[in-house]
Amino acid sequence: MRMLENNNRKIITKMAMSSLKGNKPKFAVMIIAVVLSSFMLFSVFTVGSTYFKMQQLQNIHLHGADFDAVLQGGYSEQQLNRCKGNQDVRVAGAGGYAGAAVKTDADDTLHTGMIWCDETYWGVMMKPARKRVRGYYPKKENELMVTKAALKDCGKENLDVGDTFDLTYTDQNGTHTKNFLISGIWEGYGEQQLFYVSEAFYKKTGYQLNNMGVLHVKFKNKILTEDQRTKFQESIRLNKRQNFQFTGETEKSAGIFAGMAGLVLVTCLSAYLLIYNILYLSVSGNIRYYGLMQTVGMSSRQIRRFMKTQMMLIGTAGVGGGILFGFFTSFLVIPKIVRTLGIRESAIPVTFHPAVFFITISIAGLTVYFGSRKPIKTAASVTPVEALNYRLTSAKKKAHKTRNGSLIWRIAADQFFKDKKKTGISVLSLAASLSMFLCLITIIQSHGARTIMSNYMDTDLVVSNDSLMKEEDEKWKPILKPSLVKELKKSKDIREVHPLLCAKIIVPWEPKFSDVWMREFYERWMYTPYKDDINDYKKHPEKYYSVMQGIDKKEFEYLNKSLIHPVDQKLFESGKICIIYGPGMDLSGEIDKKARVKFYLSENKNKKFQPRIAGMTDDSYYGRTSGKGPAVIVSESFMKKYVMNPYISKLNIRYTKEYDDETEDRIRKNLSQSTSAKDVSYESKIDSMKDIQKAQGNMTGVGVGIALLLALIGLMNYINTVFGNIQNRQVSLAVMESVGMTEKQVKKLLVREGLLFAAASLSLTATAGLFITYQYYQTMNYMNIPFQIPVVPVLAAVSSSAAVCIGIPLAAYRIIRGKTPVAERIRGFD
Amino acid sequence: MTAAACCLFFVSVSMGIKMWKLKRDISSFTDRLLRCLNDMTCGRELERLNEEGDTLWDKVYEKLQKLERIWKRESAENLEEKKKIKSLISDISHQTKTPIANIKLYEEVLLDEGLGTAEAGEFLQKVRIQTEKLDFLLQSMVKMSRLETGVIEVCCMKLPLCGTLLRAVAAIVPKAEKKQIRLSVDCDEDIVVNHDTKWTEEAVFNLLDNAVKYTGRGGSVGILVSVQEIFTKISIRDSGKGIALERQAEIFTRFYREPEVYDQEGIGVGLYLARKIIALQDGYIQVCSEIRKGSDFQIYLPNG
Amino acid sequence: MESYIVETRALKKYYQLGTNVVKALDGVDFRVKDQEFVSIIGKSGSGKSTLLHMIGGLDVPTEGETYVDGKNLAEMNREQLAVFRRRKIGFIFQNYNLVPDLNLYENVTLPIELDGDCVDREFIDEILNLLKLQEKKEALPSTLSGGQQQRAAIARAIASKPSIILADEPTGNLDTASSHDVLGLLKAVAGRFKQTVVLITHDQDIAQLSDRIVHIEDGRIVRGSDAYVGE
Repeated sequence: MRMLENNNRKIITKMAMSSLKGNKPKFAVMIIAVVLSSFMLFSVFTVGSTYFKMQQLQNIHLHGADFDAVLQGGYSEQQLNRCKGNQDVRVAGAGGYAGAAVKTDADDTLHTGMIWCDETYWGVMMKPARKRVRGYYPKKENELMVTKAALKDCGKENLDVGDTFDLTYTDQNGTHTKNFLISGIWEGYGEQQLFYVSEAFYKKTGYQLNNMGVLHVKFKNKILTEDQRTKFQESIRLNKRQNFQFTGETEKSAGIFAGMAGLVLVTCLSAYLLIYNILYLSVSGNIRYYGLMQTVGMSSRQIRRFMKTQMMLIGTAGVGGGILFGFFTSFLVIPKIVRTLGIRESAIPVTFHPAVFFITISIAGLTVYFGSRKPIKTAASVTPVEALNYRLTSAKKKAHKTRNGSLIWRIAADQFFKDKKKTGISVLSLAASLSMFLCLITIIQSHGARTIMSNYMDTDLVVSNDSLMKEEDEKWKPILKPSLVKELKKSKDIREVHPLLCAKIIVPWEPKFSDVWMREFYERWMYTPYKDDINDYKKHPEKYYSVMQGIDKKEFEYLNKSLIHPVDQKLFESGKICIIYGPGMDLSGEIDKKARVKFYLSENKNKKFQPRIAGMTDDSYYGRTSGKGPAVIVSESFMKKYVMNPYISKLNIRYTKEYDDETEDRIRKNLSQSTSAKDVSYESKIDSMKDIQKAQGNMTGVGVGIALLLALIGLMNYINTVFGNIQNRQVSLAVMESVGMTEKQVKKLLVREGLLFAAASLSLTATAGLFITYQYYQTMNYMNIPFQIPVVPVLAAVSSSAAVCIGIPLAAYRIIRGKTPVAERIRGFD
Repeated sequence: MTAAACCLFFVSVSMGIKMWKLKRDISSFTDRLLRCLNDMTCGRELERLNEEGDTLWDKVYEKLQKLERIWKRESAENLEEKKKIKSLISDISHQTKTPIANIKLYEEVLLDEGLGTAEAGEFLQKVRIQTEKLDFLLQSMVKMSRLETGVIEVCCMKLPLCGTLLRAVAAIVPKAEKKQIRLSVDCDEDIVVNHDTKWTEEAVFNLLDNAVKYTGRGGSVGILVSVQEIFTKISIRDSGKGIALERQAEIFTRFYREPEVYDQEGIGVGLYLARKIIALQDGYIQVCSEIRKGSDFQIYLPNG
Repeated sequence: MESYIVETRALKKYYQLGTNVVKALDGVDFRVKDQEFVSIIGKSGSGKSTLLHMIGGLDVPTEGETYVDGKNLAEMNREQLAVFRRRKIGFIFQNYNLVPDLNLYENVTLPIELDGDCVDREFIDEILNLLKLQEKKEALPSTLSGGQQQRAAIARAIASKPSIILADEPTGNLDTASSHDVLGLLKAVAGRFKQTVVLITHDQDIAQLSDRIVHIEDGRIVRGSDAYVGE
C-alpha cells in the first residue's frame, strides 16, 4: 500500500541553496559552463532556424514559388503521380509554357510570356511569394491573371480586374488575336512579365506537358541526403531530355546542417565533461560530508534529491542565463552570421522558433542530467562508516617495479596515468576545443582562398561596355574607345591593359557545326524546343547573331593554359583556328577535330570566315552576350585586319601596384564622365576583396568566438582537474618536501605533468581532430581546393595551450600551498 | 489546437487520478491513526507495524510509540515507587515504634513515681533523645512526601554562593564536632551563581552529612569552590573510606544505602535528593572516589 | 525481566585487512537500560567504535543481532536505517559534526527538518540556553571554538528527542577543561530530558560521569558486561 509521503522536502531545498551559497566558486564555474553551452546551443539553433527560414524566403522571392527541386523539359502524367505519391514529397505543382504575347493596340513589342499552372502550383507553392491577389485564377479560356508589370508591358497599365482588352499572341499553332478578360491581378515576388492562363486556354495552344511542362517539387524534409536525392531521381525515371535539379541552397544546407550538428555535439560533450568532472571531484572531496548527512539521518534518497535540487538550480540558472544572453546577443550577431552563410535578403529578422527554446532547454538539461548522474549515484551510495574512515585518496595504485629514468619524469608520468579517467576527461575536453579550433580555422582560411581564386586572370579591374549586351544594333555604342586604351597604357600606375575586341557576326545554319551547336544550346538554355525554331533560324540567321572576340597575346597565353588541349599560337594569330566560348556546354563528342565555324560579319555579309575550331572555353569572361550563336574567339591582330572599327567590349586592367585604390578611382571617375556612363560596369578586385574580407572577417570572428567558448569550457575543466589533483596530492607533495625535495623541484614536476597533458591533448587533436577536420573539409569542398592547415594560427594555438597546461598547475600549487608550513600540510586537513 | 486539448485532457486525467489517490491515502492514514488512538485509550498495546519508512504515517506512528513507552515507563516507575514507599513507611513506622514506646515508658516512670530531680533530668534527657530520633524520622517523612508529590520548586536567584555554603556548613558543625572532624571552606566571596539558596543548602548539607557520616573520627571534610568556563564546581572532599568504583554510579539512586552502614540512621534519600535538586538547576553531581582514599563529591552549577 | 533500550546478542564483526582477519567485535552482549548513561572504555582498536556504529545502524555485523528500542536493525534496509537514525539516534562524533554551510541553529534543527517535523522552537531555545549557545545561533560552524562545536553537536543530538544518544569520543579534540564542560553539559542535558547515553572514551576520568562503565578489549567486553545479571 502506498502511503502519504513524508513532508520533508523543504529542508532539502534549503540545504541545496545554502550549499550553493557556501561553495560559490565551484558552482559558479558549473553555472558558467551551462550558460556558455546553452548560449552556444541557442545561438547555433537560432542561426540555423533563421538561416533556413531566410533561405526559404530567398528561394521563394527568387523563384516566385516555394519549391526545392524542379523538373524541366516536360513531364509525363505518370511522373507527376509518382512525385505526388512519393512519401518524401509534400507537394508537387506543375506549370507549362503557353505562348507569348506579341502585341496589343497600344504596344507591338511585348516581352510578356504566358504560363499555365495547376492548382497546386498556383494555390500552394506560389502563395507564399504573393503579397496580394485580387480576383481569381482564370477558369475560362479568355481569362487572364495579370501583374502590373505585364499590363504595363502591354501599354494597358490602367486596366483592372473585370476589364477586357485585345491581345495578339503566339503559340504552337500560330499567331492569334483574342479579347481577354482580366480575372485577377497579383503582386509579389517572382517573374512579373507573365500572364497566367486557364487550363482551357492551355489545351488549345497545342503545347504538350510532355515536352514543355515544368514540374516543381517541395519535399517534406528541408534536408535530403545525397542518397535520398538519387533515390528520388531514380524513382521518377528521367528521360534523356529531362533535367532534374535541386535548388542550390538545398545542397548547401546539408553541409550547414552537418556543421551545426557537429557544433552542438562538441558543445554538449565539453559541457558534459566539465559538469561531470566538477561534480565528481566535489563528491569525492565531500565523502565525509555525505557520510555525516547520513548519520544525522539523511536517507540516500534525500541525498539524491539534495544533489538533484542543486543541479536543478544550476541548470535553471545556467540555461536561463544562457538563453537570455543568447537572446540578446543574437540580434547583433546572428544577422551577420546568416549573411556570411549566403543569404542576401536586405532585412534578416532573427527567428526565434519556440522549438529552439525547447530543444536548447532539453539538450542542455539532458547534458546536466547525464553529467551529474554518476556523481549523484556515487554520493548516495557512500556508507557512513566508509565516510567516517575516509581520507582523500586517489585511485588505488598497484605495486610496481621501480622504473629507470629521471625521477621527476617518473613521478610525473605516474601521476598522469594514475587516475586515467580524470586525466582522460580533461585531455578529451582540451582536445575537443583544440580540434574545433583547427576545424574552423582551416575551413575559414580555405574559404577565403576559394573566393579569391575565382577572379579572371587575377587582374585588378575589368571594365565592361554593357551597351553591347543589347539586341538592337543601333543601341551598341563604342563607349570604350581605343584612345582610352592608349591613355591608360600611358599611365605609369597601370602596368597592363588588355582590350577585348568585339564585332557582331552571324553564324548561318549548316549541319556540321551550327546545327549541332544550336541543338545543344537549346537543350541547355532554352525553354522552347529547338525544332520550333530551326526553320526560323534557317530563314533568319541574323536573329541568331553572335560575336567575334579578339584577344591579345597575353590573354591568349592565359586562355590557352586553361584549355585541356592547348592550341597552336601561330595558327591562332593567323586566324586559321579559333576558340569557341560555350557556356556550360560540351561538344567534344558531337563535333570532330576538323569542324569549322562558318560565319560572316553582321556589317558586311561578304566578309566570310571559316576558322577551324581548336578548342572551347567556359570562362565567363567571354560570355555576357545576348545572341544565341557561338561566340568565336580569335586573335586581336586577325580581328583588326578584317574588322574596321571593332567595339571594345571589355578592358582588362592591371595596376602597377596591386589594390591601388587611387588609380581605380581615377579610372572610374574618368569613365563616369562620359554620357553613357550608365552602360559601364566594373568588376573590381578591390571590391571583391572588400566583400571577401567582410565576409571572412565575420566568419573568422564567429569561428574564433566559437573556438574561444569551447576553449573556455575546456580550460575550466582542466583548471578543475588540476586544482582537485593538487589538493588531493597536498599530503604527498608535502611528504616529498619533507624528505628534501626543493620547491623548484616540485615546480619542475608540475611543469612536466602539464607538458604531458598538453602533449596528450595535442596529439589527440593532431590525430582524431585532424581526421575529423579533413573529413568535414572534404564534404564542404566543392572547389577541390587542396587541404591545407593554416600554420600561424595553429602554431599560436599549440603554444598557447602548452603555456596554459604548464601555467595552471603552477598557479594552482601556489594558491593551494599558500604559506602553510610543511608539518601542517603533511597532516592534511579535514 | 488538438495537441493542446490532448495535453489538457491528459493533465486533468492525471490530476484526477492523483486526487483520488490522495484521498484514498488520507482516509487510510486517518483509519490507522484512529485505530491506534483507540488502542491507547483502551489501554491496549499498539498494534505492531514494522515499518521504518519515510512516510507521514511512520513518523506519526513513531511518535505514538514514543508516547506509549513514556506512559508505560511512568506507570511502571510509579508502581515501583509505591512499593518502595510502602516498605519504607512500614520501615519507618517500625522505627518510630521503638522511640514512641520508650517515650511512653519514660513518661510513665516520670508520672507515676516521685523521682528525684536528678533522676527526672536523666529521664527527660532520654525522652529528648527519643524525640530527636522521632523528629529525624518525621523530617525524613516530610522529604519523602515532597519527593513523592514531585514538587520541589526551585526558585533561582543570583546570589553569592558563599552564604549558602556557610549555612549548610553551620548546620553540620554539631555533627562534625561530635566526631571531631575538621571542616574547611574555601570559597571566594565574589562568586555569584544563579541558584536556589534553600534547596542548594539542603543539597550541600546532604552531601556534607554524607561525608561526615562516612568519615572516621579525626578526619576532615573540605569544601572547595572553583569557577570553570560553564560550570561552577563545588567540590566536597572527605577523608573517609571511599566508594568502590562499581558502586559509584549506584549511590545516587533512591533508597540506596551502603550495605555496611545499614545499621546507621538514615533512609538513603540524601544523595538522591541532592542530585535531583542540582539537576533541577541544570547542574550535575559527579563523584570521584577510591577505596580508603576518601571521596570527592562535585556539584556543578551553571555559571551566570 | 526488565526491557532494554539497546541490546546486542553475540555481535561479531570481522574485517579482512590484507591477508589478516581483524576481529573488531567478537561476540559482544551489551545491554543498556532506558535513561542510563553508560560509558564504554577501551583502547584504540578495541572495537568500541565498531560497537557504537552497530548500535547506530551505521555498520552491518558479520554475525549477531542488534535491537534498539525493540527493533531489529538487521531487518532494515539502508533507507530505513537512515530514517531510524534520524528519529531514534543522536550522534556526537569527535570531529565530524556540523554541516559547514548551515548556521548553528540550522545545524541543530537539521534532523528534525530532515524528518519534516515541526521545529519546537521553545524546546530548541531551551537546549541552546542550557548549552550556552544562545548568542551563537546565527554563527557558521567555522567561526565556533571546538567546545562550542561539540556543544552544538550535543544540541543537535538532543533536538529531535531521540531515544538514545551515541557519543564517540566527543571530547577527543578538546582540552581538559572544555572536555569536562562539554561532558557535564551532556550529562546534565541528558538527565534533564531523560535520554539514554552511550559514551565511548579511552579516558577513565571522563567515564566517571556515567552511571555505568563497560570495558572492552580486543572486541570483547571484559568488565561490567554482567551488571544486570541476577536482577
